[in-house]
Amino acid sequence: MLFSEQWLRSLINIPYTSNELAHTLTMAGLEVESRTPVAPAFSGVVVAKVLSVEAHPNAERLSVCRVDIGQTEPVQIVCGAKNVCADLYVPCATVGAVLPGNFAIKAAKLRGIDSFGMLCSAKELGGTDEVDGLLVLPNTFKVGQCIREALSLDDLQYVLKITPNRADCLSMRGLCQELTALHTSSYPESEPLKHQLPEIISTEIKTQNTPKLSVQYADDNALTPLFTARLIENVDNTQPTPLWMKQRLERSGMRSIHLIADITNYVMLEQGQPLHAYDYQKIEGTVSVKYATEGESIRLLNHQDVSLHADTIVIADEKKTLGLAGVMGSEYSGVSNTTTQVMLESAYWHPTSVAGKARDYNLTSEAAHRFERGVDAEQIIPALERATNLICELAGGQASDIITIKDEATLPFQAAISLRSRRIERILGFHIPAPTIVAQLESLGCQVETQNGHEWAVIPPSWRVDIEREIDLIEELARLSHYDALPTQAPTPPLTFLSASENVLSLSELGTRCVAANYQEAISFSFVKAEYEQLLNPTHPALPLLNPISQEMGVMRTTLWSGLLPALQNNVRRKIESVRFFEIGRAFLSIEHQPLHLAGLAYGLHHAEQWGEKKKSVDFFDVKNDLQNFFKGRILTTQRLETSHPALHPGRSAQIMLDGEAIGIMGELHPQLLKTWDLSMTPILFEVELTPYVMKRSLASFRSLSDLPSVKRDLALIAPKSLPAQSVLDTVKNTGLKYLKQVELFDVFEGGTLDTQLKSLAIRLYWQPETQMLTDADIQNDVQQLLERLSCTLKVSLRT
Amino acid sequence: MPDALESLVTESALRFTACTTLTELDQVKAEFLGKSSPLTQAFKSLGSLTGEARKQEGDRLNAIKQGIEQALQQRKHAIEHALIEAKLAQEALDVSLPGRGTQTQSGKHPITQTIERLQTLFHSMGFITTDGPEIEDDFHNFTALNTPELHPARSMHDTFYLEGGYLLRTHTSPIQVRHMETHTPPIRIISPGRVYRVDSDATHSPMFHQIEGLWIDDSISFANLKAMLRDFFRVFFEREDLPVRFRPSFFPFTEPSAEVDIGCVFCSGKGCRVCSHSGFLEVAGAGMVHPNVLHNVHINPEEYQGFAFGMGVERLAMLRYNVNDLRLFYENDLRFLQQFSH
Repeated sequence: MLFSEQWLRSLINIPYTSNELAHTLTMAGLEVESRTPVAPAFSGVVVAKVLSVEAHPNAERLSVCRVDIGQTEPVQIVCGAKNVCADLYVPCATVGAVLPGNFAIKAAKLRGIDSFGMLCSAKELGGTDEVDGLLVLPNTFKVGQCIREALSLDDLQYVLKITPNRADCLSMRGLCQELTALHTSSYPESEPLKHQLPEIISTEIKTQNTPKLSVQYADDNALTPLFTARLIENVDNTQPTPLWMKQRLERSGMRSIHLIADITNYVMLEQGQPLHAYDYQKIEGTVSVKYATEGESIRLLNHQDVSLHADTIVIADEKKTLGLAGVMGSEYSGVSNTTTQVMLESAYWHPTSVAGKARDYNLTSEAAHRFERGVDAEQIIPALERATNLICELAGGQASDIITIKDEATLPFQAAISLRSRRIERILGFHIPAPTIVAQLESLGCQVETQNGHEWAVIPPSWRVDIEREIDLIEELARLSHYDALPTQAPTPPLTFLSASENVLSLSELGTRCVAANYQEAISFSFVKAEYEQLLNPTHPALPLLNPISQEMGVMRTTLWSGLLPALQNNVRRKIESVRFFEIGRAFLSIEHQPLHLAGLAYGLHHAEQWGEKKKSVDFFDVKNDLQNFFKGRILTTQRLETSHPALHPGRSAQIMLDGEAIGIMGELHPQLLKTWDLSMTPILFEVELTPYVMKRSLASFRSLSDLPSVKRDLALIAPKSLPAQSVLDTVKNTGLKYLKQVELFDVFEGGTLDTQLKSLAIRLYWQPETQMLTDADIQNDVQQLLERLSCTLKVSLRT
Repeated sequence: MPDALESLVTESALRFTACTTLTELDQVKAEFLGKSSPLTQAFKSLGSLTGEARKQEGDRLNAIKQGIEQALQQRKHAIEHALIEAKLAQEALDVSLPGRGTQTQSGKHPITQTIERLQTLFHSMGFITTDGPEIEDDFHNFTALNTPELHPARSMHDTFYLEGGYLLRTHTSPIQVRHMETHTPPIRIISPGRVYRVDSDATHSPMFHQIEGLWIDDSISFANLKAMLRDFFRVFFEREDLPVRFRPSFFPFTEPSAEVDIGCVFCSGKGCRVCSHSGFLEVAGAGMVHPNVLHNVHINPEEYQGFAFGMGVERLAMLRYNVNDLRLFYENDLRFLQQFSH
């Protein structure tokens, strides 16, 4: 909410400086987001009256004016504005004045004529008004008065962040009530603050035309508990809005429209009750409050056409819809400059019947903003009277009686709330003396009835619609006692150990292992471009967002690659030659299944070019080794995919197996996809779902160390070229030789003198005896067994 | 004759010194100590002497032999030493060459680092980490948190929706709801994670991270909340005298609710651009869990109570590491990320 500090100060005698006021509001939960001067600094400008205007002898566009600036003698000023004329009241920068931008005014000769000052436009005084020519002031201003004083320019515009519960603070009345309560709680000994809101006078009824206006419930009494309206005839809406009102509206962030609209807005800002004015001549027959017809169309005051839903409450006459209840009126029934008969409406709309409506119809409405948070039901008629007073005063006219339809049963009322001192103490953690509790609640406007020394029945004031429960009162007590001043108390729970399982690999440790292998952690958006998902995981439809920020972020990722590849592209674009990323985050496979994934990619050089190492690109086996390190302590292998993955090179991709179970996939990005991300080299990708199985870690368990020497033997084998090397290793391991502890593949060779259908595999075997030395014959025996097994199961033989 | 033998000591010493290799030295050695050397010949002729004369002559010859051998050993050591020196000099490296292999420049993302630090601090206070789904239902994200449909507070969150009424969680608070649904007090949890809001500009990202904390027990009070958050921020920023201030605020799921400000860590509260010249920075929202929330998860609010708090992880990371642009966290620019790898 925006407001003018001067306006507030005119209504309440706050003894605070501007800084103190801002601090008081902020620390009471009404956060002051900003305070801005309404005009820039300038000096020496006064209200002046142009006495006469003559043509400049040497310049067609200039005039020579005699100007009364409130001194004994008028001064001569040369002026270039077109709208200058005799008797005009304008701001005048006198000799010695300094205008915004540090522009000093001196006596000067303009085309040979002396000029002692400058007549000013709004813009020259730092205003935003784009109107050409001098700023015309009301002729009621006192000539010679400082313009800053005359136009109240030494004012600050406040922007308050009002939380949704504090509907009462969306008006000057509410701020005054709040400041009164805050002052009384902070300085209980001092004189309470007094606010001087304008007196509201019950309008003297001059028109006898009341029967012309009739109002009814069309569908259901619960539509509105209180709807009031009155007719004001013979108004002159061509009258200008008074400057003071215009200024207050503008400083509250509202634009001046015409007198009657300005008055309704002004009363809303002052009293908190939104009002609506209709052109009565556009209304045919009885006015009713009813539900809209589904799909009916209406053009609103902001020129927007909306198609209504049947749950929207509208005001209608016998022929047409006049406006959306509590949100906005129709363009057709709106008041214009030529309107002479006004129907003024003031109603209580239930927050639930207005809530969300403005948003549904994509409207911004100050009225709806207040109604959906809750207005003060006791201010409906006073606000109507206040607006009537202003209309009759400023636009003339005669007001009718107030027509009311009312449903007492649904009118909000403040029920008594039971408040216990024990509860206050338990929630806040400290004791507040009973007299303080009562005084603070009373300062808020609550009626407090003491049940006994430690329990009260509290009726909150009508404007505090947010106070419904005991906890709401406790919050108010904390607030009025100043949060910052409340005691602190370190919690003292029983000390207990947190469990820390060693059987699970933590995400943090997994990340640390990735970093150790030189993968940089990335965090990419969970929503990605649908096209990328389609390319990378076409068999799994991605969940679309109904209201994405952009198409680039249109669907939920099912693979982390759809975020990592664009990240890679961005870095490659910056000529980075080696990129390794990993990310741990959710993939969104369905509403029910949002598993955590570990994914990554490696691209470009294996290592930065260096004096000591051969230049080499990262490949499949580098990444496989990295994965084996991530899951060290378990057996990670890869095997051919049964069906190729559409985003991966069919011959260079694999299923990742952990202790024999498939946990993910890896491989080179399909060559056809390289251009999608402008890649000149091929990234190696991997992705694993982090299931409990994957995150399992077995507890270390000691095996006794043997003092006997181990035995090492190398074998060169010939195998069919198509045979996966892993099956040779598996077969060796599964032969069941007691002391064979380890097998390593240390060379793979194809071509040369070898048959093209064959390859050579060199393996190294390690035996570790436990109780007695192994003899050459023992080893020979084992090797023989292995060779027989390899030969009959895999057609693998010893190379001769 | 005796004089000639005595001079061998000096002579051999001169000759040994002239040798530069061990082979050369061996050859020269033979000249003075070999079978046909004058000294060996003199020893052989000892047999012709007897008695005292033989003893005297023997002593004299041995002294000469010792003198020669001593000179030989000295030279031998000198040559060996020179050889080792030459070999070591030959083997010297340019120790200023860069180390071989890959320079690890990688690290965890600064957001992860911040979350892990927060976890370390809160685990030390007995909080455990919990997690929950990011695609949430309306009940857990809003309704259970005392924010029914049409509540004006819903407009505080611009929500991403999916088909079927599902949404992307707008805060980490639904995790506390899910935890309370399945656990009974005492409850002490923190829940870091991704959250989403329809907002994208220089200071808002449609995805960001929060950390949520919840402590429910029979008498956890607002005074406890104040003490814990104050101490937390002082420990997190490693400033014992950091001002921490509480202001009333509104969240549908807590009451009393508070915004927590810390003294600006850039200007020490004097007022600067970062803190909009207020001297304070807003860093957390907190409050006592609303009785309606406890009721919604079947915990009796007359029996149990406690506090909840939430913080923006990016905000804390920006303040801690002087990052001036929120968007950098999601661009995955290695030049940015690698600044956090130490």
